[in-house]
Amino acid sequence: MTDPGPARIGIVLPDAATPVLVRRALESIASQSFRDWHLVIVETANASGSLAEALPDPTDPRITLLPSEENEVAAAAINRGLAALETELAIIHAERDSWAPDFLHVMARTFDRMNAALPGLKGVVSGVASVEESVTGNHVRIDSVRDWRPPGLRDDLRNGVFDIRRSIAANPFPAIAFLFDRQAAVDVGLYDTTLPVLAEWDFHQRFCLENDVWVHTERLAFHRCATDRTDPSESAAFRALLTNRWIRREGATGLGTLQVLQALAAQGTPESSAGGMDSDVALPSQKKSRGPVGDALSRFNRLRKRWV
Amino acid sequence: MTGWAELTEDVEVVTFDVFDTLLHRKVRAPVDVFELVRLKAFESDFALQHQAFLDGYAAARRDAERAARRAREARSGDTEIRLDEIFAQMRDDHDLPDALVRFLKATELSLEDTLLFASPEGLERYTAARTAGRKLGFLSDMYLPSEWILGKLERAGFQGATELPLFVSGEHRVTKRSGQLYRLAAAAQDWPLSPAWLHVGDNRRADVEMADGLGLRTEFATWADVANTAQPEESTFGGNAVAAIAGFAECRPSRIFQPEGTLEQIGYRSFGPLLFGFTLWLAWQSRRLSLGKLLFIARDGRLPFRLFEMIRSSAGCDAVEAEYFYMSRQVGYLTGMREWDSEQTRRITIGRRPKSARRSFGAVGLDAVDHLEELARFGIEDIDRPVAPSESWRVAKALDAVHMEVLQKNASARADLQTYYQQALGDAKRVGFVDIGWVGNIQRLFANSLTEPGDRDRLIGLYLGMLPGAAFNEARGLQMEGFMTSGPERDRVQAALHAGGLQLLEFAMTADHGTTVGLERDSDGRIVAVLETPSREEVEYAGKAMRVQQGITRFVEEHLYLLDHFSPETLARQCWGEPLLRLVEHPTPEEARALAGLTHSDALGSNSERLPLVVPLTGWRRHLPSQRRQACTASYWKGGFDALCPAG
Repeated sequence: MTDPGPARIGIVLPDAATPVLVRRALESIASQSFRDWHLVIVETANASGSLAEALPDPTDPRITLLPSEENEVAAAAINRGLAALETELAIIHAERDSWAPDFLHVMARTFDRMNAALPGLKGVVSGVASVEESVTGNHVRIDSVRDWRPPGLRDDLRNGVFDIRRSIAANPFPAIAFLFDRQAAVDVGLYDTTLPVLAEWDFHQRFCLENDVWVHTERLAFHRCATDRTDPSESAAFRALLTNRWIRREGATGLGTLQVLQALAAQGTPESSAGGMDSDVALPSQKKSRGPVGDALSRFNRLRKRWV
Repeated sequence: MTGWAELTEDVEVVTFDVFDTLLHRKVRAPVDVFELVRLKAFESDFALQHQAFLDGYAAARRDAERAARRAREARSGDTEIRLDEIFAQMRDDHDLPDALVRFLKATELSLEDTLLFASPEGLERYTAARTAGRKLGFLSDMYLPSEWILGKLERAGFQGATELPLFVSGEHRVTKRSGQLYRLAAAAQDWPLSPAWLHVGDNRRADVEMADGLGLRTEFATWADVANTAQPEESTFGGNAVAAIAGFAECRPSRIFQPEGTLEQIGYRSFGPLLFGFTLWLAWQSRRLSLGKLLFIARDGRLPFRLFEMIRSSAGCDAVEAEYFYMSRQVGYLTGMREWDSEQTRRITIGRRPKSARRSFGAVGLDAVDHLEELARFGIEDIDRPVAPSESWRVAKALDAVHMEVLQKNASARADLQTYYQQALGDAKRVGFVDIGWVGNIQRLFANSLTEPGDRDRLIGLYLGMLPGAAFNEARGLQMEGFMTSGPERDRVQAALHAGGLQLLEFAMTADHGTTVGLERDSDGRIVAVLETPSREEVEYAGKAMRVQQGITRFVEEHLYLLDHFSPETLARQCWGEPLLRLVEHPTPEEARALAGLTHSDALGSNSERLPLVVPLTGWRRHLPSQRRQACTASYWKGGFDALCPAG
């Protein structure tokens, strides 16, 4: 019997800790109409060996379970999973997330087609639906499904080549939607393990700076989050970390550009507030100055409405 | 022909005016022929060098005729001219090359020859007079050559016309209007200027008053109904030419081409021009986009399929394969839901008439009984109780909660049934997906049901119209084009579609078979469509639609001659939709009465839940503004409502 060789698509399921979610993630993978995949599950320390029970068939040669390593950050777990793969393409499947049954089929075919047309194209990203759900013990309850949009961006992704500018304001897509050329990911240095958070955004940004990515807007990926989650203040706190790194990379040139941009922003022309990037980025709205009479009228109207 | 026998009893000679008495043109007004010449000129290479002149050709041609008459008057005192003199005048005025002038003149004569047809009333009188052995002749105040006119009369069915005397004002330089042409004819033919000579014509002054004054017996040709007024400058290219042809349907001589019956005539006059334009547009798109196949989607694609087959050869589309394909939204939702979009799913749960949770779940292949817990969580306890539109979000939320089950069921059904879709797509490199419109959902469901995701790009949606909601599918990379909604009048067209046009079109284009409710394998293992058995109401609805389609088909048949002169590209203009827009926006009370009682169903997979196009308002309610507002809002067809319940 000849060795069939490595699978086409490698899937890394990092930070696997919650059996009920891992089981669902495995269902999402197992129900794919595309079968030529290899899954690497990277256990976290919290899982304490209970994940094996979630595996439908522990003897399935397409699944590799990597035991946890002490003090390993999420980015390092992803890199360890990617390193264990020999596949041409790879994707990260968080334990919470899931795919529509044709996700891998559609994405692999789209990658082939678009890569043949654009050899510099090394990734495909799908549209994403955001699912809010409550997990209680082993019970998962879906509360709502809506379009997923990155924070700060008003519009949807559009079919076509991904515009790098979309990666400046926020992580432009979640990892569950992004199928990429594994070697191209290695070439950009995989996930940055020195970043305490935002490593996914940073990776996507670096990947897109080096390679083109195709957007296929069908909402085939489901990015799930807890209904009762709080705002990711951690992300906000570390947002400047990425900005600082970008400026440092550019050195004095970057500072100069920044100064010019800040000076332009300070002028606050109506044209600039319309959004230079085809209005993709939502800029904070500026309140019109009404003058003393206008202010008084506004106060009067507010009082009147309250009274009524 | 009442009184003809008495009128001709003691008559020796019968003469006829020619144009608009014996021959009619298939255009709104005689001067519209110049608009068609202009359209034809833009198909020629002359348009490259003389674009500005040809752009204003119709007016230039009218001006040249006037100028030629003035020049003649200055030279000789009369104003009668010949066709050659008009074109010579135009050549001199605009410094045109002879080749272009020859082309324009030949085109005008060729189009006149095509457009002129025998008036049944005129032909009847001519034949009766000829059979009775009267001396016959023709008198015409005209610039066209007599030889050409006689030839045309003969070709149009006036037997023996070429052997008869014809007196044309342009050649004899005298007119009927002045009375001199009668005198000249009398002298030349030895006809008596007395009641023994009957003259028949449509111009009250020249044919009746002047002949009467000379002692002739006369008959006024009341069947002409011609107002020879020029159209204003057109706003879109080809608009005037199309208005000339479509406008003829409103003229009296057009009645011989129109079918009997109010619905049939509405089909001929209002829907016919639009569907003719759409079919020409399909032919043009097939050539422009190198389509190997056109897939006409049931049920609204049935009529375009038939019409395309009618024009296929004349439009040069013999190489394009055409197939009628049974599909519906209902069937598409069972295999084509590859992704999950909450907004699109929400649409399944809403409609003008409340839908039960069982129906909404059934639309995506689920049994609501298996999901009572999710439904109860969102406040739906009774799955058979219709859910008001304002509460439909509850069902939509419950569907969201089971989205993975829907997608998995779809994936399983897709694996089983996708050969049905793949076979329909065939081997053609590019396939036109022809349907009525409006947002491209069926195209998306079809594309998502295919084996190869990239095959989606082989499909090009060719729709009668598109609504702004199509942006959702366009953003997903679906290629779509809408005929009515691609021109400068897009906003007006879309507004009209929302004001009842959509429902009227869906009525007019419905097929006479039930909707596709499922797919199954036959005894040979082939996948075949399962069609709904139509309800009595649906049969009645389809029956009326068939009557409208008779009129539409007749219109297309009657206008196939245009393809002998023009390419589909030239003729495929959005302005063919103008008569339908008029019907939607300002129907006559008769049209409104004929169509207002129709019902429309927007329920997925159910044609039994139908609502009237116009909500009837009778008695005192007609005078209460609040009642009027409510009824108008509830009516699909606002123009129909206004026509039947005029304000005040």
